[in-house]
Amino acid sequence: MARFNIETAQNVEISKKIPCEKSLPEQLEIMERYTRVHREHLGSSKEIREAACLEVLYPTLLRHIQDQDLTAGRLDFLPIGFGCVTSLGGVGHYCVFRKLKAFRETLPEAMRPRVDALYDYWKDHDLKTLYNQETLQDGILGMFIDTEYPMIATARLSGMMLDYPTLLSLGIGGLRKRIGERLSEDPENEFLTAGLSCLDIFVKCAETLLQDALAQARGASPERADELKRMAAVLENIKEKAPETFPEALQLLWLYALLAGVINYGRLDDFLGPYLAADLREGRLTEDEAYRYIRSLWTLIENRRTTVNGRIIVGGRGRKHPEDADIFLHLAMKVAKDCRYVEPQFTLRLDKDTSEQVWDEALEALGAGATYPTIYNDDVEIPAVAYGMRIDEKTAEQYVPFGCTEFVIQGQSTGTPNICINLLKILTIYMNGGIDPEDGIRKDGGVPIRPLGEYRTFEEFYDGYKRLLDFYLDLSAEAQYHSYEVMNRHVAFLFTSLLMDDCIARGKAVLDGGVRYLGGTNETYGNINASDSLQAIKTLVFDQKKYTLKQLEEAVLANFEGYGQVREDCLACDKYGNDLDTADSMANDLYEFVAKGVRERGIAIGMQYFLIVISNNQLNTEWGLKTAASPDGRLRGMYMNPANNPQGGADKNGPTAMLNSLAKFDARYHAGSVQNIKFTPAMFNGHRDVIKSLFRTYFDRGGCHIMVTVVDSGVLEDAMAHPEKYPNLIVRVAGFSAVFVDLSPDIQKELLSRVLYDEQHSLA
Amino acid sequence: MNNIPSPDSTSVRVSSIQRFSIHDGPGIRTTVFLQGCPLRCPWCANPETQDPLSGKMMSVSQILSVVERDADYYRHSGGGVTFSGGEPLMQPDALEALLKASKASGFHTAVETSGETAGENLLRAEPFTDIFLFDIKHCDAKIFRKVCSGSLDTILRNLEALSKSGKVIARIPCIPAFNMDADTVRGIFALALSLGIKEAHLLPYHTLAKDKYARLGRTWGWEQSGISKEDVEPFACLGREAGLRIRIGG
Ligand code: SF4
Repeated sequence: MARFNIETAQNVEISKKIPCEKSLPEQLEIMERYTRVHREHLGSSKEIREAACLEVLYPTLLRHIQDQDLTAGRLDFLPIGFGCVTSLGGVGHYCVFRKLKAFRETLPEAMRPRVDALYDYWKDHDLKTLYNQETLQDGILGMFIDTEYPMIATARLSGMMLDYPTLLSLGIGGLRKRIGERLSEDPENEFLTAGLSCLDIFVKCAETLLQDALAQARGASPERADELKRMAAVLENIKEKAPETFPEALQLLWLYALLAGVINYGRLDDFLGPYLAADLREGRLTEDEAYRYIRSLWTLIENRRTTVNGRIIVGGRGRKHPEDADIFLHLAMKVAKDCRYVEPQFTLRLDKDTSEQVWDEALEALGAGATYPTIYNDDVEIPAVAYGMRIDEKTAEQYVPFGCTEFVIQGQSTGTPNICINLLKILTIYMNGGIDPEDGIRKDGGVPIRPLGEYRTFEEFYDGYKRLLDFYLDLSAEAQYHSYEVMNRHVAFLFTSLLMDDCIARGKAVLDGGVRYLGGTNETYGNINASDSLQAIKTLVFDQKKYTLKQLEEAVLANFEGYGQVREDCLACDKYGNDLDTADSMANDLYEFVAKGVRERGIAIGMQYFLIVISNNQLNTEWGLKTAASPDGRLRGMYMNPANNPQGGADKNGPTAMLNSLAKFDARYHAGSVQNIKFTPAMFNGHRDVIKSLFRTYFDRGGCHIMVTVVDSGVLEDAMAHPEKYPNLIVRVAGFSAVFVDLSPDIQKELLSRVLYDEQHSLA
Repeated sequence: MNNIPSPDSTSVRVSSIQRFSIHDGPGIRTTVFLQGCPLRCPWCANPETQDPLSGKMMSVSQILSVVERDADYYRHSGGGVTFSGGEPLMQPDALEALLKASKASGFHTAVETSGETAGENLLRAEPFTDIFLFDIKHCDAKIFRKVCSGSLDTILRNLEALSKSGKVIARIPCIPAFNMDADTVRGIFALALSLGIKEAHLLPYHTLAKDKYARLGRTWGWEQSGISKEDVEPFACLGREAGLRIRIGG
């Protein structure tokens, strides 16, 4: 068994969480009750145990309705509880040991032994710990987020996008009926029985919020009292019936998502649009009220603070109600522009037929510095998803990005990225005979590696690297698949399962054979540093014969200290991002090797799909800190390239050249790849037509995605020096946005290193 | 096969090629800066292009292979390729070959010129050029000669001959303490109008190239602070009143 520290931070947490509403003793009691119920149900089925545990949490953990809320439902999380993802609570029956320990410190001495007892129990029952114990391998496969390893793994069920259209059309009562009918055919089915308990929990929660709304209405201003009474009426209506109005549809969807622990919301324009359109048409809502409802939703999502999730998707092909959906889309664009929150991750899908108006609204919001919407190109993504996931194009039209970009099919597939792999670290290990230059630990997994002097051609050298990659890719598919097995052993993710095809029909939980498409994703890092390194090796060692491999390795191992000339030569080699056939083909070759390799292994192990994502959160920087110097000229500890963008500053031929490079990767082999671009306001807002044709051409050429930061030159530098002046400066890090001054200095530096496209000034 | 020189055999001295140029003609463009300039404007933003003997040698097809990479962007944005400098007409054969090749590839072409060249050179380029961005820096020959070391007579003669094509846009660098007084600006506009020119671009003086001078071991020859778009707005008004289409910036 591998050694690991169960208190390691499990995910990126940049946005600060809102503190729990309950008193410390109350929190402790809830966790004790949860633990007791869990223990008492160790002998029950996972479904019954889960339902019993959920009853401990809900409605207890509901927070009070806040003054600005127009839709009800906020939740607290404790260090022990139930969830799907690491960014809210934890995974399955979880204990976040680090947070539990911190909680212990806030208690009076006398109460602390009670926490210790919990800690001891959960050491043996926390789902992620169980997974780690079975899966991790010393030196080779570490836990999230232990950057000393070349590959890390976790158990989680990220990125679920539920079948909300079904929820909205059936309502809770309809769903109950559907489950009941299946249960009458299969009366012993505990998944279905437990599913019914979940619906009871939902109703109880709606009732609790309803009472809260009425109670608050009594002391509120006449206007607010009115809002609260309306809210109570909405809550009453959705306890059983299918929603009939926009506020009801929104409330049902929101409360369900909350209880399911899912943090991405899908194609809201398409499912909410018809309700919104009808309310506007029939005078139940004014446009202004609709705006306020959507804005309130934005605030609720922001307040969940998941950092890299909170996806709302609008636009694109395959919408069932495009006209109604556009009404929602236009209002949402306005909200996104006005709010400038880091979440929700407001996502626009578009294609060749998207109207000028939508384009203009999107560029307007981006130009205002909102960093949203982030834009996906359906013309490329839909056929790519169809191929990559082995589904037909009609189904592929329902792709939705979650997290930093990973795709799932709404209501039909899982796509959680439970593996991250650092391609550059593996290259540095390969070049150093299997030993990581960072810590002197052998990480070759027993793959034979020849001495550097023996390679006569670049192909031989590259081939050796590929063999080591093969080892890691094998392991990645096994670890991903195993995460499903372990999760399935312990939990059913009941709320989620009820709204995923075909769980009810099959009477099975999502990972128990219920989900229609069992997919997964693998996040790759350091892609471009690795391919630029290969390019430098090819050029300097094999083409120009300027250095031997050994000499190059010596320089790299010395972090180029005393080898200034070597580093200059390395830096001068062709780099990806400049629209050069040399470096771009190398990048593409490595990409295809890894991406196809992962995909084939996923199919072989029995998944519908297992695809790489070139998504990137801030791990490119954090992993870079623990990655040795590399032949692309990158120094030890330096950030690695973000997503599939060039290393910051390496692209010198302007935005068309960079976008041309980006568009070269064949989107069929990944399940999402994000592309950053940064402009000054003078460029972006002063030349809107140019920007529009720039993006359109890029999309025409096969570009799949773009995300934009608009910021003036010098501003980021100034914000590093004087953070107090910039509390609201939002930047796109990669697959997520953040308040710049909340980021660590290393990450700030990486953002600064990226090229900022400004107007040029001619005066010749 | 035979001895007719192919465009490929023409070598060109190139200072640099800049993709995604948006100030040297319409749309998204690639600007090819050719090496060499007969003038010495003290505020020149491209001093590295002045020496006719430096730069790097490239063939026409090498240059075109760079230009072609952004063909899709030109199509979408109404852009194309611009030949600038330096003074591109210092290499008249090369320029003609480049223009012909660009036209053969279907690109919109622009030539940015100071006009200081033998008249026939411009006329040779004209059939393959869609627009000329023609500098009119001053209307007083003496001042012009003193400051920029050029002949305004030659330039105006060339401008007159070329303007018949209807392809000329005047470019007026707005340089404090040189041409930024109402009389001079009016004089420049009058000149342009008298030649049938309909559009003028005003380029605000900036000092962004100062560093380049330091790197070239030269000193910056125009001690004035940079100006903004707003600063040239009054002159833009004068131009509009006189009946010209005016744009600030390229
Ligand atoms: S004409 Fe243009 S390139 Fe020549 S010196 Fe003057 S500003 Fe420089």
